[in-house]
Amino acid sequence: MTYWVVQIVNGLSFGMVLFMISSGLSLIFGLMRIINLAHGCFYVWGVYVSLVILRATNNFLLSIMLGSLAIGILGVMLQRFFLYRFQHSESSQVLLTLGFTFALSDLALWIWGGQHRAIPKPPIIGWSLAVGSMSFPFYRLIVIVVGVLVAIGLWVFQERTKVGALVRAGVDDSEMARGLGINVPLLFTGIFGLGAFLSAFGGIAGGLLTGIYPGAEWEILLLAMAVLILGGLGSLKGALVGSLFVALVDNFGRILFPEFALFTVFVPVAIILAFRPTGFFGKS
Amino acid sequence: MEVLAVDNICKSFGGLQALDHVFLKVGVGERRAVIGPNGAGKTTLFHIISGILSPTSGSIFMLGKDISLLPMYHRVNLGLSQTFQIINLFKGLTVLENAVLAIQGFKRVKHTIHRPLSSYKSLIPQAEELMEQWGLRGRRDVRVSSLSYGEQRLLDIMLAMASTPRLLLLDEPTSGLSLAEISVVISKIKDLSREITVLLIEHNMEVALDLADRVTVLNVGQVVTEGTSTQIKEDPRVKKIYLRTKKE
Amino acid sequence: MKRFFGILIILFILAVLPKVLGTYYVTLATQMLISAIFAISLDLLIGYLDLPSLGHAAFFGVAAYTIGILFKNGVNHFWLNFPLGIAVAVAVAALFGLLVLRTRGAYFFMITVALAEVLWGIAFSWRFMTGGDDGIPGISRPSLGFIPFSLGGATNYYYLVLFFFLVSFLFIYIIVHSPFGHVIVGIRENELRMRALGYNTWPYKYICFILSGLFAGVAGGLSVYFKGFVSPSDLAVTLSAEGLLMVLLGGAGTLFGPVIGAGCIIFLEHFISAYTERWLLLLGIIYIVVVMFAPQGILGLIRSRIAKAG
Repeated sequence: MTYWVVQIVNGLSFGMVLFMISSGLSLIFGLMRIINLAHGCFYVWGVYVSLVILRATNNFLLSIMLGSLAIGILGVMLQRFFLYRFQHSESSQVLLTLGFTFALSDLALWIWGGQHRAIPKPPIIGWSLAVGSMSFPFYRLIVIVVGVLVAIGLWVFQERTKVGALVRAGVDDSEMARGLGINVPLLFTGIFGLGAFLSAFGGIAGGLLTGIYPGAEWEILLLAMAVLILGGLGSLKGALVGSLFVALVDNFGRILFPEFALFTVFVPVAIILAFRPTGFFGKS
Repeated sequence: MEVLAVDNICKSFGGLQALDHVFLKVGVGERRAVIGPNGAGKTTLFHIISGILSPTSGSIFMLGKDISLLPMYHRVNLGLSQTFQIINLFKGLTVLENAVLAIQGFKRVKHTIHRPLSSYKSLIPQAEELMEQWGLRGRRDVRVSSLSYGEQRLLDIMLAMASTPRLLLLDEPTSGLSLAEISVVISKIKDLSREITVLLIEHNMEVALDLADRVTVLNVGQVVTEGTSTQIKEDPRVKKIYLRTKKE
Repeated sequence: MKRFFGILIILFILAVLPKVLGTYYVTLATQMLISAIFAISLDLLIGYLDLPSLGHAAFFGVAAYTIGILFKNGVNHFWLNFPLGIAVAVAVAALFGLLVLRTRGAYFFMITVALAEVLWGIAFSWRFMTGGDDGIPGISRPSLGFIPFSLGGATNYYYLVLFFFLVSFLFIYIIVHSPFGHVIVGIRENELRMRALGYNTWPYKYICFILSGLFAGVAGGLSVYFKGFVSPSDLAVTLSAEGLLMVLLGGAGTLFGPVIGAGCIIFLEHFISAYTERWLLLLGIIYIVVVMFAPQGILGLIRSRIAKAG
């Protein structure tokens, strides 16, 4: 029994990591209508950069925040100098992000080499929390809590702020939006940066659990896409539900069918797609 | 037997009731105008008749046949044809290519993938004849995006006419045109054979009353009244609807 | 007329190539031709259906694996393995098409990736059938049965690939210029209007999708006998992405463009890989440069230069 509860906690914590990453992807799509294929790279680079900062400062919390911030800035620059020039063509923007992915992932390989990196874990990882007769890995519970906080923060942002309302509605007519006093370029750049930040942040949180290895950027991108396919593009609620679903399926899939670990997630995705092409909560 | 029967059609979008128990009957060869202020539901009605939208409740009958559940292309094959309020042509292709596609469309059952190039060529004379009828022969190799707005509107109707439909839906065919262009379009519509039944949405009252035998007035998704052009012209209710919206 | 002679010259060059160049270049040319078939199959999807897909490697890899798995189980007759490989690719395309054609734009894009990933995952994980991570090595080229033409040497295999390339290109060229092809273009330009003109657009899209999978399967089948092995990388997103770049670089919707694009990318890959390991970095940069400065591709650039001059 304990075993299954622990597994559920494992699944939920990874689900929260996945949520942080896919919410960024969802936000970017919701507003800019592009699938940011470089999202997985933000995840990976977040970890590498924060490792560099960690080595320099030895401060765990600082390296998480600075690392995520650095990637947020990277995202801002990519959007501002490359993507924004192709406002009118979503397919061009998607292809640009594909180019970035190849370039960034190979660059990371070049700079940091190709071994599986285990991130030096702070003592917090070893702690466990005893609840009744069961003991849980403390870190995973923290991740769940942080994830919930992020989810609440994003919800407040989308539902209660003016900017959030714009993101929710999507800016279909930028002329009109500008007429309403909205700085559209700033909005786009800001949200892209936020998405990158979230991905890096989630990446570091997740990276502590799994480590980093070449190909991770593709794997996480695919998982995030599976989440969005299921939950529906552009829906925060969908990203949350989808993340938890994918994480739990992935976790239990690995336990029950270890040989097929890498694609157990996509089978239910394909099935659900067959019946509901826009996912559970999607807006097309 | 009427060509078109709209039977108790309702359409709601979420909370918005776009069409509210609409009944309409159009006889063979009739010219029927559907008028009403903005947001009355005219285009929605057209989209339900043609199959772009499906009704929330009610049925559509064309030539006695229930077409309510049929996909658009099927309705077209049964004799329906339409033009669009916002110009909807093959902008990147030439006038000739547009015409050939339209003609191939109604002959489509005869063309398969392995037919040699020559069968495509056989469509060109027919396309030329069609363009000749509509005065666009001279613009044959021009890309649609380079045509004038008036020419595009004519092309729009021409494409819809390629299949010699039984029922032609025209959605604001003179919208955005100059006076000269409008009179060209009007005369072309007037020249259409009475074997074709025409249903048209028109914002321009004069054009609508000029072309139509009968007029249906819609407001806020409901049929307010229906009658001959003369009757509608004099109807105080119709004046009120338009005046009220003007004031607003 | 000029075009006709141009093509004759190119055909001549392709035909005598092995007599003039050494084995290294012959194998390079073979690889270029195989990629060219993959690229034109993808062009049907991207250039003609306007459905940018990142999962095209699925059809390529499935054909390759079919041949590999048959080989692993002792079956290796060209006229059995090769058509079966293509048939499986067609079956997969038929299945994917049902799921994927109801969607557009971003959803379509993501779903093609997801579906290709399922196949990749199967190839990676199902050690027993597919050899897992290691793939299936040592696949030898079979005889051509009653045709007295050995596939063993580089030159002879080159001619086989050239034959299939010419057949594929011709086939697709005819399709694209047929009434069917014009309907496809019409659907690409304005699907709603096509439906309003009486076309049932779905079967046209479906058939085009399956054809695109078919020819990707041809490329995959030729590839596995060329390399002598098959591995999960034949199903990977990176392969699909390379194909996408080939089409873009050459010019989508032109057929000739993707062939040129394939040649360029393969050439660059070989050339660059001799000096550095950073091929993917360069690939990414080429992507960015092409999208930013030449989105119509090489052929598009040439055409607009001609239009400007003329």
